Amino acid sequence: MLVGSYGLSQIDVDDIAKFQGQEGATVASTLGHELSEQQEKQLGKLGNDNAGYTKAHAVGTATENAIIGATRVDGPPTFKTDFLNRVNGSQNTNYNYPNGKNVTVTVNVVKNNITSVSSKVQNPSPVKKKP
Amino acid sequence: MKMLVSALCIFVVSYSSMFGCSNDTGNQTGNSILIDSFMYHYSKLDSIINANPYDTSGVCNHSIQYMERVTNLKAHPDGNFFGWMPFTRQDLIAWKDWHDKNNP
Repeated sequence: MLVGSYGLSQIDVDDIAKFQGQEGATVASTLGHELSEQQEKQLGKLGNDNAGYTKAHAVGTATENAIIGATRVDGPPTFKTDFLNRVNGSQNTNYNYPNGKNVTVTVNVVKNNITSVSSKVQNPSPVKKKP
Repeated sequence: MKMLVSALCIFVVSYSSMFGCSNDTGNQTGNSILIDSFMYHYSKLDSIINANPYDTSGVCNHSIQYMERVTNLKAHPDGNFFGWMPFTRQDLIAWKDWHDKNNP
């Protein structure tokens, strides 16, 4: 399981703890994502299929966005799976703030467990005042 | 008369061998098509899982449906924080095992 499992209705709190002190994706936003995703699945009686996941995941992402005050934009998928289907590699996710700030969060994963998370902040370039 | 009997014998032998061959060829062709289709979808899913396990394209779904239908073994999809994985590497191994057992 990586952060959470939609099908198993489980959350990996060790993975979530790795977001401590980050910008963009935080402990609160990832936990909020997983909780609201499961709420949508279980109360909405959604199936364990792509359609159900897509609907619940969208609700989870909306919650995440509301908590951090930014818009999550997923980067191209770069994770790989090994012969036991465990996820390995790193994945970038962008968070765009209304003031133009952009945060790229890089999540490094080894055998389905997050080993580290880093954030790269790009602040908007200052507007030059006309003399 | 002797020539007529000989010609008749040759015709009967030729016809029965032709009939036999066409039947065998029919079966082999059917199996070949099944094996070729299986390997086509298997290769497709193998390259998908190596490139992007979060692939939910129509091509991927079509191949999963084929595998589930032919082998009667269901895929085990799941979603996480980053996306939906429509099948696992173990599913692919199980489908290939089924194929190896049923097409020795």
